[in-house]
Amino acid sequence: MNTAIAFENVGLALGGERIYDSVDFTVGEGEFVCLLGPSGCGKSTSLRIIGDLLRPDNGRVLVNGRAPAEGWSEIAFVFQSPRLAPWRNALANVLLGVELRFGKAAARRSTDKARELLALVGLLDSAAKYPLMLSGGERQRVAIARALAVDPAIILFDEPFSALDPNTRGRLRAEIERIWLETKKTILFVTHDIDEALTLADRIVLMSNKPTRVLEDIRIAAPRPRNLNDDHALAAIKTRLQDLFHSLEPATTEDSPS
Amino acid sequence: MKRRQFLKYAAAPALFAAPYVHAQAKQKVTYAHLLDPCYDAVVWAIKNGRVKSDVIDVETTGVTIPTLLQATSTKQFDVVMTAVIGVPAAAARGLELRILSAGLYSSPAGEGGGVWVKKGSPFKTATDLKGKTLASYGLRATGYMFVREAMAKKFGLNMALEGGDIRQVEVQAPNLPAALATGQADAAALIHSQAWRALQTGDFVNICETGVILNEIHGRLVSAVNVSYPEKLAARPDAFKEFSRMLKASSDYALANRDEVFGAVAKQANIDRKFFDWWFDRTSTVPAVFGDAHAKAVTTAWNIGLAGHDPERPRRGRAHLGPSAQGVTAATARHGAAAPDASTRTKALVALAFAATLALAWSLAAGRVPPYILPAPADVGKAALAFFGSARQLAHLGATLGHIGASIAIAFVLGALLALLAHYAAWSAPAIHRRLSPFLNAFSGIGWTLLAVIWFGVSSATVVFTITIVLLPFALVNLREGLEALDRELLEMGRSFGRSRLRHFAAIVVPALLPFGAATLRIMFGVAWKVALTAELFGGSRGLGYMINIARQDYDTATIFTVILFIILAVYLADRLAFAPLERYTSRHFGRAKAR
Ligand SMILES: Nc1ncnc2c1ncn2[C@@H]1O[C@H](COP(=O)(O)OP(=O)(O)O)[C@@H](O)[C@H]1O
Ligand SMILES: [Mg+2]
Repeated sequence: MNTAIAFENVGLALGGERIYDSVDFTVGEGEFVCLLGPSGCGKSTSLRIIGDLLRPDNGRVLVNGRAPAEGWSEIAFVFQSPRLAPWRNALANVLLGVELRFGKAAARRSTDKARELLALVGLLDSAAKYPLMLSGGERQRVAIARALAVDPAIILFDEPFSALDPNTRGRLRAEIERIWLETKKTILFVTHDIDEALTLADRIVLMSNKPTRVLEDIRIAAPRPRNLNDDHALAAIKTRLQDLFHSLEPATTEDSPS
Repeated sequence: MKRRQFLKYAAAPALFAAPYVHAQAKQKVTYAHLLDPCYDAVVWAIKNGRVKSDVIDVETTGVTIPTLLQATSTKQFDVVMTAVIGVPAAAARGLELRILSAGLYSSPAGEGGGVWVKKGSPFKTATDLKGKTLASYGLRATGYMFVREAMAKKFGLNMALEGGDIRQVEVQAPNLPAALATGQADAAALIHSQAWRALQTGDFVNICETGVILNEIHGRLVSAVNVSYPEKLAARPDAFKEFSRMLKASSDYALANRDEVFGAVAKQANIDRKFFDWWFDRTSTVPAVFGDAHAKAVTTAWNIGLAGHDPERPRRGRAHLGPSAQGVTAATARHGAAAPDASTRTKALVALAFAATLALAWSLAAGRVPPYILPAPADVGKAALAFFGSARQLAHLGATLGHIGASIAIAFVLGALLALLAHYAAWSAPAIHRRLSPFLNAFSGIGWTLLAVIWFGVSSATVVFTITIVLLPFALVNLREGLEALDRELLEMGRSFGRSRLRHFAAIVVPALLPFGAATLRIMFGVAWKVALTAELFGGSRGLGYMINIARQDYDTATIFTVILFIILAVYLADRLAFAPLERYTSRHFGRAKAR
C-alpha cells in the first residue's frame, strides 16, 4: 500500500506551549484511519498541518510524497461545524469548494456533478434550500458533498458528527462508510468517540496528552458493517481503549474544543 | 408701498427731534461695521477717546460682509452697517430697518472698485471673462451688485449669478487674493484695502473700473448704510442720535487729523499710510449722515437691484397662498416627524398627533413673528412649490445629490481599500486605525471646507472633498468592524479549498462584508447631507447649501425652511425605502447566521 500521509518525528509549539513532542504515524492510500485522542491533544492541529494551514517546527509531513504546501490540492476538509456560506443555497455551497479551488468556470461546469453528490448524500430535493432552512445533519451532508465535489484523493474529517444527535450521527457514519467503500478515497477521521473509531476505522491512531506522542496504532480487521455488541475482538479493543482514555482524560470526554 | 414712500419711512433722522436728556448711567450702543482698515480709521476717534460722549459708550466691531448681512437680521448689534440692497429685501420678510446714515458713498473719482486679474493674465477686458470664474466677497453684497451692473451695462454681459456669461463664486474676502494668485479664480472683485494692496504689489491688474463706469451711468452711489431697528430707536432715541453725531465726528476727525489717525491704523493693520488718503479721496466717502443726495443714490441702488440681473430676486410683499399649498406643507411636516419604527397604530397616531401639534405651534408662532424669523407654513408651502417648479432650483438639488453621490462613492471605495490594507497588511493597521482615522474624525467638516477652498477654490471639488473626508472615517470604522467580524471558521474553510486570494475575496470576504457595506452606506447617506449643506454654503458654487447662502443674504427664511424640510423628508424616505430595506436584506441574506 502506498503512503498517502506521513508524520515523521513532528514537533510543534504554539503560543510558547509544547503541543507535539514527536509524532509519527502514516495513513495508507485508500485507508480509513481514525485519529483518537483526548481533548486538546492536537488532533485538529494535525489536520491543519496536513492541509498546509499550519507549519510544524520540526520533523517532516508528507502528502502523497510531497510537502503539504504542494500536496494540499489533493485534500478536502470536513470540519466539526459545517462552515457553509449562509448566502448560498445547498447546491451553491457544494460548488463553493470547486469555485475556490478551480475557479468560477469550473464551478459552472460542475453543476451536474454537484447534483449527483447532493443525491449521494440524500439531499437532491434540498438543493435550493439555504443553510438556515437545513437541519444540522443536512448541513453536514452538504459539507461532505462540498468536499467530494473537488474530487480529492484525501478527505480530512475533524469530528464531523460530534455536534449531531445520536440517531443522525449513526446514519451519517453509515453513509460515510458507504461513500468510502464506493469512492476508495483516503480518509483521516478525527474523533474522540471510541465507538465511532471502532465502527469506521481500518486503523486507530491513539494520541497521548500534551506534549503529544502516538500511544497506540491499532489495526481493526473486523468485517464491515460492524456490530460492536457482537464482536468479541472489537469489545476487547474497546475496553483497552477505554482504560487508556480514562488515564489520559480524567475529566469528562464528552466534548472538546474544535 | 412705493419706493419713495418706503425710503421716507425707512430713513430715521426725523426721530431725532426729541430733546437731548442726560442719562444717569452711560448707555451702550453697539456698532458693527465693515472689517477693513479704512473703517477702522472711520471709528478710530471713537475707539481712542478723541470723540467722546457723556451719554453713551460706543462699542465697535469689524465683521466681514456676509456676517454683516447676517447680523442685520439677528439684531445683535444696535447699529449695523448693511447692504443698501438688503433693506427692501429685509422689509419684504418682515424685518423693518431704519436707515441712520450713509456708510459708504462712492467718490467722484470712482476708483477702487473693479475686476482684477493676475498680472500677465490672458484676460484683458471684462468680455474675456465669458465662461470664466469671477470670485466675489459676497454674491449678494451691494458693492458686488454694482460690479455686475457695470459689467452688464458697459459690456453687455449677462451677469445673472446662475446661467449668466460668467461663473461667479463667493470666496471669503481675505482669501480672494490667494484665489486669484493660485488660479482658482480667473478674476476677483477686490475692494478697499485689498484693491490697494493689489495696486501696490502690481501682482494684479484691474481690467474693469466698475466705479468709473457706474459714476458715468448712474452718478455716485451709496453701497452701505448704517441701520437700526424701529423698536430700538423708539426705546432710546437720544442714544441713537448721539451715536450718529459721534460717528460723523469720528469720520471728520480722521480726515482732519490724517497723520494721527491714518498713521495709527496703518501701523496696526500693517498697511501703507497712503492707502487711507487714496481710500478717502479717490474711492469712497463716509457721509455718516443721510441727506437728499444719499437718498437719491440709495433709490438708484434699489432700482439697479430691482432691474436686477437675477430673475430669482425676491419681490416685495407678503405672498398669499391657496389652501392646497398649505396641505402640501402639513403633509411634509407630518412625514418628517413620523417615528421611523412606528409600526403599531398607536405609535402612528402619536406620531401624527406630534406632527399636528408641531404644525399648529408653528402656525401660531409664525403669526406672531415676522417671516424672516419664522415664515408661516403657507409661505414655506409657496416656497416649496416654487422650488419644485423651478428648473434652476431643481438644478441645485441635482448638484447636491451629485455631490453626495460622488462623495459616498469615493469615501466608500477609499475606506474599503484602507480597511482592507490595514486588515491584510498588519504593519499598516496602526497607521490607519490609530492615526489616520482619529485624525480625520477630529477635524470638523467646516475646517475641511475652509482648507479645501484654499486648495480647490469655491467649486464642486471642494464640496466633494469635504464630504468625502468627513465620510471616510465612517467607512473605515464600519468596514473594519466588518472585517473583524468575518467568520474565521468560514475563512479557514475557504483557505482549505483554495489558495487564490482573489477567489477567496470574491466568494467569501465580499459577500460576508455586504451587510456592513449596506450599514456603511446608510450611515454615510445621513451624514453626507449634514456635511453637504455646510460645505456648499462655504465652498460651493452650486447646490442647496449655496441656495441657502443666497437665501439668507436675502432674508428669505421660507426658502431655507423649504430646503430643510426637503432634506428631512428626502433623508427619511431614502432611509426607510432604500437603505433600511437594503441593510435588512443583506444582513438576513449575507449575515452571520447560526447555520454554519
Ligand atoms: N493558534 C493557536 N495558538 C496557540 N495554541 C493553540 C492554537 N491552536 C491550538 N492551540 C492549542 O493546541 C492544542 C491542540 O489543539 P487542537 O488541535 O485544537 O486540539 P484537539 O485535539 O482537541 O483538536 C490545544 O492545547 C490548543 O489550546
Ligand atoms: Mg479539535
